[in-house]
Amino acid sequence: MIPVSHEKASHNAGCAVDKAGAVPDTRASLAVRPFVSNTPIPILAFASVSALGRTLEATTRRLFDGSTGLAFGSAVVPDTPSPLGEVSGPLPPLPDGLAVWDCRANRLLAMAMAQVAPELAQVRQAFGPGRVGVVIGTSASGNTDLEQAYAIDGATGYDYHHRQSFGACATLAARLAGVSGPAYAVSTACSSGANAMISAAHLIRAGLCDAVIVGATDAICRTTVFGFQALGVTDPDLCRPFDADRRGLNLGEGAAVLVLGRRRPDGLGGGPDLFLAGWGATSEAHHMTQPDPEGDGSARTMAAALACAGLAPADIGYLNLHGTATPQNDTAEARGVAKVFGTNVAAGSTKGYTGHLLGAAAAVEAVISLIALRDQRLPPSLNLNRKDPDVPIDILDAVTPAPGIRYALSNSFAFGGNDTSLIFGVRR
Amino acid sequence: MRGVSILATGVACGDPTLADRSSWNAVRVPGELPVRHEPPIDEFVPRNTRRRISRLIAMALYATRDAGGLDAPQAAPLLFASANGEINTIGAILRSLLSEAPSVSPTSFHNSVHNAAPGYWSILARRFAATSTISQGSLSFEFALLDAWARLASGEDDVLVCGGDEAIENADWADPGHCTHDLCGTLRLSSAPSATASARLVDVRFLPAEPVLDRGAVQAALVAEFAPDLILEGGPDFDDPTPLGGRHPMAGLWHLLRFVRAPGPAGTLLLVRHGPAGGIAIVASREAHD
Repeated sequence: MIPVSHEKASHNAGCAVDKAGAVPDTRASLAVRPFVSNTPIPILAFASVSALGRTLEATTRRLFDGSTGLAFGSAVVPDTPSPLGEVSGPLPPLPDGLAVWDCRANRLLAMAMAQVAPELAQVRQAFGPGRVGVVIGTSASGNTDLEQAYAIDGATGYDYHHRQSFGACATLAARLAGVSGPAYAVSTACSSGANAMISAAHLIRAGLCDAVIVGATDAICRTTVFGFQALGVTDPDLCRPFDADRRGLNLGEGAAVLVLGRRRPDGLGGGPDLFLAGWGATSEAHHMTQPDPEGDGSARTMAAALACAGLAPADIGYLNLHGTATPQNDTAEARGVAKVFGTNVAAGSTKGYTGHLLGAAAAVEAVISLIALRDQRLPPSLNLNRKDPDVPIDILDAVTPAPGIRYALSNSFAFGGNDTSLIFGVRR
Repeated sequence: MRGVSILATGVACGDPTLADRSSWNAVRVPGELPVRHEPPIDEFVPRNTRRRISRLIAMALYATRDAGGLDAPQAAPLLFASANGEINTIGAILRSLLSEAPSVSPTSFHNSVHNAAPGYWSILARRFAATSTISQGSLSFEFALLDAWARLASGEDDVLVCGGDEAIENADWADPGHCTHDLCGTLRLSSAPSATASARLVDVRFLPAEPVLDRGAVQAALVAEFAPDLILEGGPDFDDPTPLGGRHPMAGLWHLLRFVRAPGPAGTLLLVRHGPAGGIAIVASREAHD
């Protein structure tokens, strides 16, 4: 194992600061710096919708069946040159009174929100609606619907404010949940969901919120299908993360929500206690779309997440990799992993199940990581026929039991060199 | 002392990548906000990059540099706030998708993301610190300031907050009437004691939307608590007295920058911005300067 030594690696901002004072009840005051620590943040509920499944149960089942959600052909972008992870069939309309927010991305978000409605009711009851915030990540917001409206009539009369403006998904989520705390969107391309999670964690640690509904949503649209095609990083066949013959990514769509809380309200949920243990976020400062080929950027980010969580590399029992299946990403990311964790790891990409969900990827992969921790088994990386000899780490090629696993780390990297790593934990 | 220091600010209007001084001075905001009327240091943005980037990206680069962004600790995150982001680039992509063989320029595509500006910043400034991008309509800057406040309260020592929107020019579908000017500004915030900072961010508070919140009662409580010398209440439902137009998404940033930067006496500002998703109250103080 190569030790990572870098200024940023030891920086654990917002995670392990020991300062005197107390968190005020209703707001963060910087008159007295509040006491904060790297105490885990409980995850009170979680759900996702993607091509893999419209429910958490379906997602779990197919994850361990090894059946992909990727398919050739598309109802949304019929002329797509590559397979997509599209959520097939009609999407349920938004509830009465919220139709002004209607767009494909918001419908996906509402589908994820509906799955955690019972837990949300308990959270609202326990903390009060004004103490529950919302942070939602998205990279394209309502772009699918905007493109369709633009093709018809130049999008004349299009309700930009509700259907496309980036904050709209957060406002809608607050309305769906009946909460009135701060609600805003985070948009950092393919790491949007992870940066939303980091903002949510800060809101809780600062005492600004007692709970935060955090997640992300993105729908397939022509801009991203043809944009990634223009970059030459899509595979005309099913994507093959870490395979020697991989050619690129397949796009997907979906949404996921997690409910983070200052504490677990009495009587909420069953099963093991899951929590957000830490995070790392850095900039590669390298290139707008290309990763640092040596993986130093991703290594810095993973090391920062470990420092934030107060963990050692050996504590991590599952690495849910960004693993887009582009030639550049997978090699660079694997090199970064090797620098922090060595080569003998339990690691894989789940992009072969869902496609690349862009702004929603980190949130859906957070849910997949939580499923792995909850069920103590790890999903394989699909379509791995012959591992790339330039990938220096082990890649999971079969469902793998992981009894006693305690922590999982999930990577998401984005345009602009925006790298994020989230660490989730389970306590039994 | 309460709050955090505003160590420095930077502001940009118009296209700061143009070396021509007359263009640099042809700012789109004629109001009282003091803007640096000097040509930028060209070396910061290479010529081939300049050709590729939007005005918003360029403004964010120079505003953040002018706020001392290059001198901030390497660990200081940059929070970028924008209501509409790269909306003019998105408008161009929408048009290009209408052709029979749809194609998107690779540069336009990666420049269309909401975090394009902080991405370019990290690359050109060679900074490894985290960046994030926050959006919530006309209160995008205010929510980014709240996010920064949460980070400072939970352990960050330094945070850069950059807000910006450019005039909407080729996206009629986005109600261009609400954003007809360019404005971008950056604040460098620090919780460390400072002997040189002439302004402070005293408090940032979220205010739930009505009917949860009684605007009048909350405002009275804030006035009683902070005894402000200047009270400015605004937001998309208000007739906001800025040269940016009443509904510009960066109107709150304009008010705060003007308070911090314009010549005048010492005082305390209470800036309350209401939006459909709730409001934000910002309290800032400043020393006198010419």
